[in-house]
Amino acid sequence: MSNKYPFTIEKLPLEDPRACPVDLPHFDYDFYYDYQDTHSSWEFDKWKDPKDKSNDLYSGLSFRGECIDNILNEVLPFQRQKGKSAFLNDGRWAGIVGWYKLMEVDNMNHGGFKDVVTQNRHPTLQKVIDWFEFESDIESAIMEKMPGNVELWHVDSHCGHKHGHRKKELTRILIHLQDWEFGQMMMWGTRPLIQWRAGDAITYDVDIPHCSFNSSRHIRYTLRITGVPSNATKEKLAKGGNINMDNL
Amino acid sequence: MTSSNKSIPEFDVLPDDHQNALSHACLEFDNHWDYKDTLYKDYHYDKWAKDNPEQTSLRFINEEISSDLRNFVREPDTSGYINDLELAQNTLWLTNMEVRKFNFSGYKQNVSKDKHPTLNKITEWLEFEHLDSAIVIQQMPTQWEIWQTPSDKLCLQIHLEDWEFGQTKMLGTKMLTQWRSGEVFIKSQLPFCSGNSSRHITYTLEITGRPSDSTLNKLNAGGNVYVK
Repeated sequence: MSNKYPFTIEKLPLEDPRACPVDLPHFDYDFYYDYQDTHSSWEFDKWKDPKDKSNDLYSGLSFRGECIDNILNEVLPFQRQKGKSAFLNDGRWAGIVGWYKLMEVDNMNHGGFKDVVTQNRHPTLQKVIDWFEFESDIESAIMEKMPGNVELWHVDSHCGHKHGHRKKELTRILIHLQDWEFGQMMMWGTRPLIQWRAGDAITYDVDIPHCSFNSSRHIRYTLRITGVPSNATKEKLAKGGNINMDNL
Repeated sequence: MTSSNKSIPEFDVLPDDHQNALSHACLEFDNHWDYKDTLYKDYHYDKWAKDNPEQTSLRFINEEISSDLRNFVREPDTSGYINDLELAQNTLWLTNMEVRKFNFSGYKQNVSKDKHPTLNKITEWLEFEHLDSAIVIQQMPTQWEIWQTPSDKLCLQIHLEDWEFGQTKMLGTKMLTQWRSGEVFIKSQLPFCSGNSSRHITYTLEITGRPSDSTLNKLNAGGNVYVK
């Protein structure tokens, strides 16, 4: 990182009664996400051409149809689940909140909210998920981003998934549930992403750091699917095209 | 108008004969930014358009820029008034959207000769006919400015540090990234928003006012300007 933080986060000695009983490797970094960067093979060159192949996110697949046009009828009312995958004994959390405090990030819900997809409430979204034919361990969520919600620039660890932290190959797919609005932004590596359409799907290499911001006047909803891909999943993603959900 | 993906309930309205009821054209809208869109006719509001904002190659080169930032002291925001309808309307909308902080967009400090000699030189060099303000804006990680139409004054922003991963600004539908310290862009030409998704604090010099011919000539000429 070039512009160093205007502070250094001190580390408590292990014998301090407040210190985590285990000295985790990320405690040697100012911020957990800085440590997470070290797991990525992406070249952290901030002047990289946005069109560089290393920024590629796959975005050739779209779901279309009347049921997609009216998908908010399924999404709403949105039932917020617990916002953060934080646990009482979570050393990762400790590596985040110290930095948050010094950077004055005082809204722990800044990343938005999620709702679990169920067949009952979300039959169309469930059909989309089933269409991908994941091999196993599918975790799906509808993400709600309020105006001002932000995901800080980070490398995915899939920490909430049982095969997270790169224990097993996982594929993550994001599907926009609404047309883009002025002020909504996403970025993979140095490549910005805007002007998406409802039903557009994207997937990306786990090594590419990314972030998002909702500076618009609208709430943004996205379907997020994470799971162990089958060959069929990979083939469908590679093939792309427009999938008419009304015909499925 | 940008209000297509409506997903929040409509506001209740006081009856006309209520002692606190106000009447104003803006109150036909959920927030004041939507209302101001209707007054700003210079933009197409086509969200699928590919905006190509005017760019200036003007860049200020000086290693002392960041040393001026050491004197950054947040100034209290004094822009709230007891009868401020715009603030009242937007605050109601923001509350409904769960934005419960007034300082979500960042902090500012007015440029002064003794605290910011380099930034003051840059401001003077631009020779505005009438200078409304020259401020340093500090944006912490997760702070943001909502997408909104510009004022009718010329407003320039000068990046005071190199870009960091996750920092974004948007002019119309054009995302700005990968800027270098000292680069200038014309903020007031299109609707604007910003978001700091990075792990770093962003500092920007913002100069607003009525330009002189000399200001415009300098912007058009562009090039590197060594501030000494």
